[in-house]
Amino acid sequence: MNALLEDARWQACLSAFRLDRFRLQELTAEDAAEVRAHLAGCAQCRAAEAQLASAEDDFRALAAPLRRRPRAGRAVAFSVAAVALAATCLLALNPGGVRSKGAPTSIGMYVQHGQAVRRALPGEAVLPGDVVRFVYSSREPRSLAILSLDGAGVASVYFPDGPQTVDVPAAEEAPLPLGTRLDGVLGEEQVVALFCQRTRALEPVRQALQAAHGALPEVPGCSLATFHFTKLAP
Amino acid sequence: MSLDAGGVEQLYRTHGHVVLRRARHLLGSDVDAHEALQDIFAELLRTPPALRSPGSLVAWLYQTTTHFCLNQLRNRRTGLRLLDRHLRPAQASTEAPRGEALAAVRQLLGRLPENLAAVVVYHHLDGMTHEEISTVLGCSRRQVGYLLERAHASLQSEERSA
Ligand SMILES: [Zn+2]
Repeated sequence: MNALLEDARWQACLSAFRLDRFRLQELTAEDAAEVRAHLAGCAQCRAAEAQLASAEDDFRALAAPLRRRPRAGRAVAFSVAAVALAATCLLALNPGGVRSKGAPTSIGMYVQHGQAVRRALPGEAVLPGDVVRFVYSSREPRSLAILSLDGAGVASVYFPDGPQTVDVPAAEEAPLPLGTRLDGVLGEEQVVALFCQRTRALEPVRQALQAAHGALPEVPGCSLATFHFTKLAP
Repeated sequence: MSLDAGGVEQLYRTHGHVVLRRARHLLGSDVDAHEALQDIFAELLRTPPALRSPGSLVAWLYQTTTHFCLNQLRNRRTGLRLLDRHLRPAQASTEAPRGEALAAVRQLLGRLPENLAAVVVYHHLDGMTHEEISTVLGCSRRQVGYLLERAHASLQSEERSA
């Protein structure tokens, strides 16, 4: 265990989460009674609860009223809607890492480890042997392919199982048919989705991706969406 | 359940302190925490969320705040790489005894994949049980255990390479 984490550790037996839920009346009567009884007998948890109360006082004293709109010119690097939609395991989801403003396309990834399937976050840690499967969103019909550049700098095509992009309909979070079992090449893998206006041959794109050493190649007539994950040693 | 603008403002008044406190803790800076508070709620106004699990607003705010702050820490890290890290002034820490360890933990969190960083935050900084984390994340306790194990392994290798 990391010594720093030990020093930074929360200092009470009831978690901040449980105490917040208690204070904001989210617990069942039974749970709340349990917390109340515990607080009566535990100075450490009472101190933690007092800390939360004083943070609430700070908020009332110091926090500005809610601004009605995001500051102009500020890139909003996350989407609450995406957080709320994040499926299965693992909280938030910043779709595909790149959903540039107004960009009508994105990709997401699911990982199957043993029997468990989870939604991958950008940078997700995966293991050799895990199975990944992609979902895409596009407001327009497009011709789609998904390529990747692995930790060893080798580019390959995840989808489709053929030499060129495949036409797909407009969709929100539509899963692609093929799952891929991950090989043993470790390190950060960059996934690049091509959303093209018309069908494109993939081999030149694959070569360009490999030659660009992690930079994104320009592919005329196509917009790109990216995602990355990290393959760790088991 | 979804929130209209009035609902979001109400939520700000009743639950904003939870977001502010945790953002302060995670970011280690009052200024950044107040910005985070505004940004998170402004974004809520912009895209009112359809809450997946209306059971717990607290859980949902924990999730959102954690996600937002981990993003900030990662961006900071990118910024540090671009600047000369020795020239950057230390962030004023808002808490005394755990302050130093927390500052170091923030740097570590910025280097972990987000899902691993999040379980570390929940388990160590918020003191949450595996069960509570599984509620917030919507995954099994076993998966939580697995993620924590991966996180500790990554942190150990960070320590070794530091
Ligand atoms: Zn206690």
